[in-house]
Amino acid sequence: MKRLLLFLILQVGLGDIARANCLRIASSANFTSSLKIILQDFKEIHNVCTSISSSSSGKLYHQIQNSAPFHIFLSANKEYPAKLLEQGYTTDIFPYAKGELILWNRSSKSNIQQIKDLEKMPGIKLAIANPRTAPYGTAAIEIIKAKLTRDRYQILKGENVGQALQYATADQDIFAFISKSQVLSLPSNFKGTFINLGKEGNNNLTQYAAIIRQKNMSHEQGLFKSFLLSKKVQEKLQSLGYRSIYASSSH
Amino acid sequence: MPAPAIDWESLILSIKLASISSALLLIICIPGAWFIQALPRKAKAPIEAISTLPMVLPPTVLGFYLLVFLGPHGWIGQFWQNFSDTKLVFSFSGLVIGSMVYSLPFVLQPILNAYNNISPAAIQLASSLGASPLDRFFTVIIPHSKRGIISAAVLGFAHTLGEFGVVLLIGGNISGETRVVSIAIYDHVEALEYSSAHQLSGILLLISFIILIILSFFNSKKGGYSWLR
Repeated sequence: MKRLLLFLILQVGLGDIARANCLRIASSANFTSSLKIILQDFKEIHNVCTSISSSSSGKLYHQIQNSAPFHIFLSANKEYPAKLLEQGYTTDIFPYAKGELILWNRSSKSNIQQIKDLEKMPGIKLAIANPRTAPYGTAAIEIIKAKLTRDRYQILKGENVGQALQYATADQDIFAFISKSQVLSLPSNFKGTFINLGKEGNNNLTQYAAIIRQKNMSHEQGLFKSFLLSKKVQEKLQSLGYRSIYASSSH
Repeated sequence: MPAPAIDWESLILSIKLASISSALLLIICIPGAWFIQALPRKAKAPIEAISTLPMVLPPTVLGFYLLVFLGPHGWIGQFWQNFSDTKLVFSFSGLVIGSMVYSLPFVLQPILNAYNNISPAAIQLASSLGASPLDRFFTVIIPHSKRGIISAAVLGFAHTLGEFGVVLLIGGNISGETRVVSIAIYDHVEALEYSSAHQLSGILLLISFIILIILSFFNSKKGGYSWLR
């Protein structure tokens, strides 16, 4: 028993040391699948160990305020990183991608061309990310309120866009307000159909990153920033459903 | 589609968390339960009620209070930071504290029951033979309560293994640190990685089943576990 305890205590200690030099990235749920793809290159070029924690931007923001050990925060908006900068939790914030809000459904042929068409299906269920913590949810609820009659729909609130999409994959009567990048990385059995909400309102989400003030990994934080903003990665992000921050026109 | 690699990291983390928390709980509860059962009845009731609270409270309530107390502005969090210069929330150490609170009744109750079932005659006999209170504890009480202590260890381990709500609130999904297996499954489902979710859920199902088999084995075999001595 004593030996077992000693072993466990050692395990905990060593586990922490082994993990200490990993770059911890807090990623808003819309960006996680794209991040996994671009990180393969990052690891290859710089040989840096990374770990991803995915959640809604608002939740990650609160976790950082409560001293969560993240090095990089990839938010879905500007507001949260800007607040962290104000409060001194971060040293640097910068835009890294422009996301697009879309409306997705799992059926392969959908007769929805614009959001108003949803009213033809009374009692329809709309899956969105929680507007209180997820910028994509906030953008979605604005469009819904502006375009749809109130008693014609039911809102399903997921914790973030990942969960909103997951709800909609379960039932073809559910329409999800999610990011375009999520659809592009869907498994092949879930392709479905989507419409762009560009004409419906503000669907242009400029996403900001924040370098979190931590005791270690400042060199790797810098490497990641230049990697993320490099031309190659920005081009890659366009194929993954984002607009480049360098593009001059917004559409 | 090829099967994804099994996420051993979160499984090992869960097993580590469950082992450490239940070991620490045993160290506290084995003597602690003895003090509680020796208390006068009026004092016993509120203490037993408080220690059973984590069994009835929603994990979100526990998690919320833990977040308040363990956070950088909470007094436990501040004390810890002064003492070790590290943060408690969103760390493995914080999860150990959270799990100990969460699983406390599952470790304490079986030990208390075992202590209550020891015949006072056995203790009196040992006492009249000249055994000191400490001697009696180690030579009479603990051996007589062996089955209760094993149940406590197994239940504490199993209950911590299935912990979710508390970790969600104070853990924050950090791989190798707080992404225990239940959180990893939730993460995989959210990311539509169903095959990874299936793998981890299946493994957890199997582990839990085996644990319960072991537990019922101990509980049904009255006095028949001589190979354990």
